[in-house]
Amino acid sequence: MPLITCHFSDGASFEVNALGGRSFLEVALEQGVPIRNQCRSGTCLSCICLGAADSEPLTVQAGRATSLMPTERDEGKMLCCVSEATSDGALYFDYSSEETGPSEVQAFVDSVEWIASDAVKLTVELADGHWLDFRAGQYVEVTIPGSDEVRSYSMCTAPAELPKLAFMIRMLDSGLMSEYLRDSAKPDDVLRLRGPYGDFSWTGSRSRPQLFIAGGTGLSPICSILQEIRATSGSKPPLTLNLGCASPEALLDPMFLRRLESWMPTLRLNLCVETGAQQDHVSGNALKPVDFDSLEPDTEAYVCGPEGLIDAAVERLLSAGVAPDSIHYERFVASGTA
Amino acid sequence: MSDEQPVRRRAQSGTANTDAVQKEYQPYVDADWGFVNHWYPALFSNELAEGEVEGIQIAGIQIVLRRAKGKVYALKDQCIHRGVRLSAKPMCFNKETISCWYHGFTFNLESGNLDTIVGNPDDPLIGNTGLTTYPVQEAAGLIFVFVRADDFPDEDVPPLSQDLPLRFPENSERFPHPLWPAAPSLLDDNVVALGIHRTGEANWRIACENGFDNAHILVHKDNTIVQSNNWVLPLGIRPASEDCITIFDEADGPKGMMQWLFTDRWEPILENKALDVKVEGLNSRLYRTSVILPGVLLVENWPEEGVAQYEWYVPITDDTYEYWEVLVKHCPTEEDREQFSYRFDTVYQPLALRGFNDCDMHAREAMQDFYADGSGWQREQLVETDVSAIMWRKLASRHHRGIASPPPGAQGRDKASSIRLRNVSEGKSPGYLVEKIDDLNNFNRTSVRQRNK
Repeated sequence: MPLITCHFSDGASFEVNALGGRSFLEVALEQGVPIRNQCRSGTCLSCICLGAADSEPLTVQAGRATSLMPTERDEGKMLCCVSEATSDGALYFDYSSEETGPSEVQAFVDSVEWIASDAVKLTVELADGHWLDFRAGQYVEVTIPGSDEVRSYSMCTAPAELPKLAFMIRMLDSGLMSEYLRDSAKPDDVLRLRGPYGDFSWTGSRSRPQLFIAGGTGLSPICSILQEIRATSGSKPPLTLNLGCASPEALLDPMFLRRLESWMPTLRLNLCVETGAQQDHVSGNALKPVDFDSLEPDTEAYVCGPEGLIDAAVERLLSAGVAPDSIHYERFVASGTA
Repeated sequence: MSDEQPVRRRAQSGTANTDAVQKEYQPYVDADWGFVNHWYPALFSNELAEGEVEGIQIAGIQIVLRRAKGKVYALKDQCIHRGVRLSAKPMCFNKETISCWYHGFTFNLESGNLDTIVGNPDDPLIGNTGLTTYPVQEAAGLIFVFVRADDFPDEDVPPLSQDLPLRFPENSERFPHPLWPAAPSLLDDNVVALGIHRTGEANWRIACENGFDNAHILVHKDNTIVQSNNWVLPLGIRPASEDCITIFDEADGPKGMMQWLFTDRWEPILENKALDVKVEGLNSRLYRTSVILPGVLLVENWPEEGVAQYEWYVPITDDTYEYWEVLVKHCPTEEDREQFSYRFDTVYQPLALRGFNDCDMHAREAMQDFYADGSGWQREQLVETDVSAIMWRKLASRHHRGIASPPPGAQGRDKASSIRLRNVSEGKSPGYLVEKIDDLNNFNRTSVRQRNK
C-alpha cells in the first residue's frame, strides 16, 4: 500500500496509507487530511497539489479528465480527486492545514473613545489587502507603536464586522499602550496585529442556558460572542451577562449593553459594582447575581476577567453541578506595564 | 509580512449610517434590505396555476415558486452551479423536481437536494448539495413564504399566525372596539381576501412607517373616496396620552403595536390659528391601525364596515418594495362573495387601493431620496406625532428574526449594472417578478450590427 506524505504551508504534514483503486482525495479525507475540495470530478482545481520532483505518487484514474494544462502536469501538479496513489511519495499543498492560523496584518486606527472612567474602545480597520479571520472570543497581539512591545487584546466586535475590529482596553496611569492611546493615538495611525489566538468561544448551543461573567475589560470577548449569537439564525438560548466593575463610573459602555439587552429578548443583563451601586446596579462582584443553588445544571458558563474572579467562578460553578467541560474561561494576562 | 506602506480600503459602497452615532433602534436602521426569517406574501394563489413557475425576490433573496400537484414549493432561485435563475426559463421533467434550463441541474422540490444533472447523471456532486427551501403556506388566496437565511433551522420556523395581525374577537377584550364589528382575519373560516400588489420605488421602512403614521391625514383630504363620502377629516391627530400605543409581544404571538385611535388617547386637531384654518362638522370614518413584524399593517373597519385592510411592504431591494393591499371580509355565501367582488372592482380598488393609497405611494417616494444613503435616519427632525414610528422601530429592533444582508447575486444590488441599465433603456423598471425568456431564438438587442451587404 503506497505511503504518501501531505505537506501544508504551515509546516504540518500528514501520512496517508493510500489504498490504490480509490480517489486519493476520498482516502485522505477519511484519514483526516484537510485537503480543499469542491467538484470532486477533476474540474474546479480546489484539490490541486504538487508532487515531489523525483516522484509521481498519484496517477489519474482511467476514464477521468482533469482541467490541468500539459505544462502544469509537467511541473508535477496533480488533482487528488480523480487520481489514485500508485507509489510512495510526498505531496505539497500551498495553504495552511489550519483554517485560521495566525497571520500578521496592518490596520488603521479609526477611533479611540472613552467607554468608562478607566477604559477605552479602540476601533481599527484592516488595511487594504490585509485580512484576519477569527472566531468571536479570540484575541490578537498588538504591537505598541514606536516600540517592539506587544499586548494581547480580545476583539469586542463580531467577525461579521470585519474589516473593522474593536477592542476594549483598560487604561493604566502608566504603561506604553495606555500612554499611546491617551496621548498620541489618532485616526489613520497604523497598527500591527498578529493573530488570532485563543480558544475562548461560543459552543454554538441554542438550547442550553448561557451564563457570561465578565470582570472589567474581560467584557471584550464576551461582547463579541453576544454579537455573534445575535446574528445567528433561529431561536436563541437564555442568556445572562453579569458585568462586574469597581464603581458605576468604571462600567464599560453601559448604555450600549442596555441597548443590546433591548435588542435581544432572551438576554438578561446585570451590572455589578463593588461600591456606589445605583438603582439599576447590583452591589457586589459579577458573581453576586448568580443564584448558584438553582442554576440549571446544563448551563454553559463563560468567564473572562481577573484571576481572582475566574478562580472563584470556576469553584462555585463546579460545586453548583456545572460540568467542567461546560465552563469556559479566558485568563486575563495582565502585563504589568500594559 | 510586507513592509510596504499600507493603504486604506476604498470607501465601501452602501449606507453612511455605519459611522454615525448608534441609535436606540440601530438594528432597524441596519435593515436596509429588510428582515429575514419571517413570513411574507409572495403571490396571490391565482397567480400560480398548476404546473406554473414564477421567480420573485424578497429581501434580496431570489426565490422560485412552483405549483405541483396543487402544492406550492419555494426554492432559492439561484442554481448552485453557476447562479442562473431557474425561473427565467422554467424546465420541469416531472412533478417532483425543477431543473435549471442552462445545464440541467435538477433539484428536488421538497428537499432542495440536487437529485440529478440531466446530461451528467453520475457526477459526484449529485446528492451532496442542494438549494435552500422555503416553507410555504396558502391562506385565503395568498401564498405565504417563510423567507429565511440558508442556515435557519426547520424546527425553528414559527407558524404563519406569528407574522399576521392580531385576531378578533379573541383579542376584543384586550383591545376593545366598541365602534365597529370584529375585524376579519386571513385565517378565519369563510374569509375572502381580494387585493393588488405592485412595486414601489422606496425603502420598505419608509413605506411601512407611512402606513400607520397618524399625522399624514392631511395628505388624504382631496382623495375621491373622502370627498365622495362627504368625510370631513381633522387636520391631524396627536398623541394625547402615555397609553396611546400598546405593545403586544407574547412569546407565541405576533409582535406588534396597537394604536388607540378614536379614543381619548389621540386628539384630533380641528384648528390651526396661525394659518386661520378650521375644520367644521368633523365626519371621519372610524378606523384603527396596528402594525406587526415583519411590517404588516391592519386597518380595522376600513374602507367600509365589515372589511379590514391588510398591507405589506415587502422589501425587494433596499430601494424597491412590493406593496400589498388586501381587503378581507367574511363571505359565507356565494352571493356574499359575488357582492364583495363586485364592490371590490367598482369601488374599493379604484377609490381605496388605488386613489387613496396611490396618494401614500407619492408620499413614500417623496421621502426616498432623503433616506437613500442612510443618513436620513440621522438627519430627520422628529415631532410628537412620530411616537408611532419610533415605537415601531424599537419594537422591530427587538423582535425581528434576522437582518437581511443582500446576498451575492441579488438583483438590484448593483444599481448601475449593465443589465439593469439595458432593461431601463428598454422601458422596464426594476420590479418584483423575474423577467422570463420567452424566445430563446431571439435575444432582443436594438444595436445588432450587420455584415456589409
